[in-house]
Amino acid sequence: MTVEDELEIMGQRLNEKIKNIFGRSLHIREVDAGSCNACEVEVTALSNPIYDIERFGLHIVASPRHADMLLVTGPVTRNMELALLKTYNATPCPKLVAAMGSCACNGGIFGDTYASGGGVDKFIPVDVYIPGCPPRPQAVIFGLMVAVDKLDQKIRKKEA
Amino acid sequence: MFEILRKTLKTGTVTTQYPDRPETAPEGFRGKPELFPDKCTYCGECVKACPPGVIWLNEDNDGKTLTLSYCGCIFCGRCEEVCPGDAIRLTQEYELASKTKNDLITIIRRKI
Amino acid sequence: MKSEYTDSIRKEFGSVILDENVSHNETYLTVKRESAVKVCDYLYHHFDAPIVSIFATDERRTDGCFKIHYVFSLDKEDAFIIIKINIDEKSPVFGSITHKIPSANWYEREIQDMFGLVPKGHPDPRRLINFEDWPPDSYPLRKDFDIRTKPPRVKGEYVYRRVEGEGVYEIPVGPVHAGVIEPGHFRFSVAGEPILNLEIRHSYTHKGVEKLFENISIDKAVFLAERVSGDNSVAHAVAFCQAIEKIAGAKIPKRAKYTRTILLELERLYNHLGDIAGIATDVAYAFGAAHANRLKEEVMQLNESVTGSRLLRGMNTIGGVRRDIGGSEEIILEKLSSLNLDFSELMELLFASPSVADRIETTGRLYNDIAKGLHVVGPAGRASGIVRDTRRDHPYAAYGELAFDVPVLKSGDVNARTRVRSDEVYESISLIEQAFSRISDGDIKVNIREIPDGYALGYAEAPRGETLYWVKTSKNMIERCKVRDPSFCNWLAIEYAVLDNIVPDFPIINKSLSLSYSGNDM
Repeated sequence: MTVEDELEIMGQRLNEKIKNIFGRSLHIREVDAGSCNACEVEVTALSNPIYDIERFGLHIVASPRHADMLLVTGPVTRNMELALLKTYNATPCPKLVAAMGSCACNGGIFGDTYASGGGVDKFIPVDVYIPGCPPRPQAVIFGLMVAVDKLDQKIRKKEA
Repeated sequence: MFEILRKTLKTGTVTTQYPDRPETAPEGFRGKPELFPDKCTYCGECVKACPPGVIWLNEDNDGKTLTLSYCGCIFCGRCEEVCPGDAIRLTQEYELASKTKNDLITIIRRKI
Repeated sequence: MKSEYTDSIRKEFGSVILDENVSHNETYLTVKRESAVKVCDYLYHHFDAPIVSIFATDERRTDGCFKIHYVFSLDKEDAFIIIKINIDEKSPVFGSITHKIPSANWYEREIQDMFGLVPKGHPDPRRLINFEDWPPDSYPLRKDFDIRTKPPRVKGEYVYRRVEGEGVYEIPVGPVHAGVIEPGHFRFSVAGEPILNLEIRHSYTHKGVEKLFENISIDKAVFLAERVSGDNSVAHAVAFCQAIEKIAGAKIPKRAKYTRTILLELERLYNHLGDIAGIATDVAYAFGAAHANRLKEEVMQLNESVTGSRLLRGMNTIGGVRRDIGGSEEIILEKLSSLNLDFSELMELLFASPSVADRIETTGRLYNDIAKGLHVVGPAGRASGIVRDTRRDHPYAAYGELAFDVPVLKSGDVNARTRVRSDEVYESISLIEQAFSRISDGDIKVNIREIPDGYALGYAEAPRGETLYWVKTSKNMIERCKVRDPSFCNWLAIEYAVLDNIVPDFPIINKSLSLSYSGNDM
């Protein structure tokens, strides 16, 4: 068995473990790493009576220490980098990270500059990317479901 | 108290059934950009117009490649607007979340 | 503009005026550097003209110096006076006007951070935008600073104001908060429950927006303007587009003007509904919060069906709008009439609830003199008796042709701010109805091929208040774009509004002022 195979099996085991541990409930801490606040508008909408994500066992919690998942928005500004790392380290393992919005995924329109970091995955490992500017609430719900494998992701790389 | 009850009853249930029941985005929604390889002339207008710069045009000996990443896409629809051949369109698809960034890329090629 | 203002300035300060230049409703007066404090003081106190923006430009390549612009608004005349001074690179200092005009405080510190020009005599010369780990002698908005540089982190310390005494302790909050809000740091000094002092520290979301404007083409910059403060997308885009259209001397079609007005009011609607929902949440009035959130969501879904974006993005462009919303007239008007009834029922219940009244009345008082001194804008200012509204004082889009009231209250507490917003909801509904009854057929945009070199102000009344853009173009690119979000004016007000209130009331006060962190830090 090669090292890659071993790593793959370990990865799969870890994945299943995470699924078992989280079951059907997930505690989410939202971290704004420098977004324009549009993503916050949509995260707030998730808790309104229309989307009401609590019905899936998804809770938005007040502290990273209570969280299973960090929902990160924004391109990670220079001034938020340290706070994001501290938040990540304060979140107990196993943990998931979702990058919400185009800035978090890839820097978006803010790109990679003196002040903007150009995406969350340059700083902490990301488990799921939720594109959109901002993603509509249904798209966020879909992303959270993909993150915990409740739904199969629909998109595959298209080549023609 | 009665007024509150009245308002509650009048409003009824407003919660959506998503994701148990699929929901389509309204017409005119700017979702996932779709490329039509047979229409694309690889002129590069969309590359110039893209505000976050997530469309790339590459040329090598084999041919031309147009790569679009909707990872950093801001769904503004500028590409659709400037395309002379209707080869790019923003669809109503919004369920884009993915575990890998590679899934968030569309590539079309034209061989010489 | 009536010449009495410039005449009076000329009479008073004739010898210090180096240059005079009028374009549109903006009068630019270049004065000697050392006289700026006196001239600004005169304008501010003698004419009662509020200072709406202060910013610097790096014009070393063309004119061999930096320039600082002090923008005064003459509300009654629908005009602006801009006092300019030149600053030589070799002596990068200018006299601070903060001790005469308190609202200049953050602008001067911003200029210090971004351009390395030192406001001499500033009462609080600490850093504002760049953090303590930012190297000295590195100024992002100078032209010789490349946007892609990543300066190393250096050692440094930020010293907070301290309140000392028996039983006084500090509560640091943020930048990562308990709720779903943006990052910022708050440091409370308290004795028991009442707040003795609050110091806010921002710039966590500084994304280098103004520098970015200088590095992208003008048509793309509209989308950047939409992302300065996400929930005020339309106001920012409109303000930016209007500045460019002013420079180009373009007149946009009537239909575009009315469409912009409708979009601006739809934006105000969902923001105000969201703010009222937030206040209801923070006073634990769950019933009201649920319903207000439902109404906000209804408006956002309406936005999406009309424009393709829940936040009304991607609608504005230089020269007009990108989509015609004429086909949606019926569904918009239908939704608004049901919203009108639904909302008025809800507000009746909310204001009749003793538990709500108990939490919002007299809470977070912002007195008129403080609000005026800090130049607090928008609903927060109007709740403290400041009678200003860009839509009325500097009409743009179609506002000059529509009738509307500007609700103003005097008490300056959370209650007043909630009521001003609630009253503005009805005004917005009426404005949209009027706009649809007067809109005429025609084009929705004009094509503007070339944008000449020039500069101009663009402005709009965002849901949070006056939003101001000053844009200078050169060779079809943006040479400088100064963005002034309403929150940049309003943030300091919170340090005063919370005094003598208890810490648990802070979230309500914060929510009632509805401040954008991103718009402030940029």
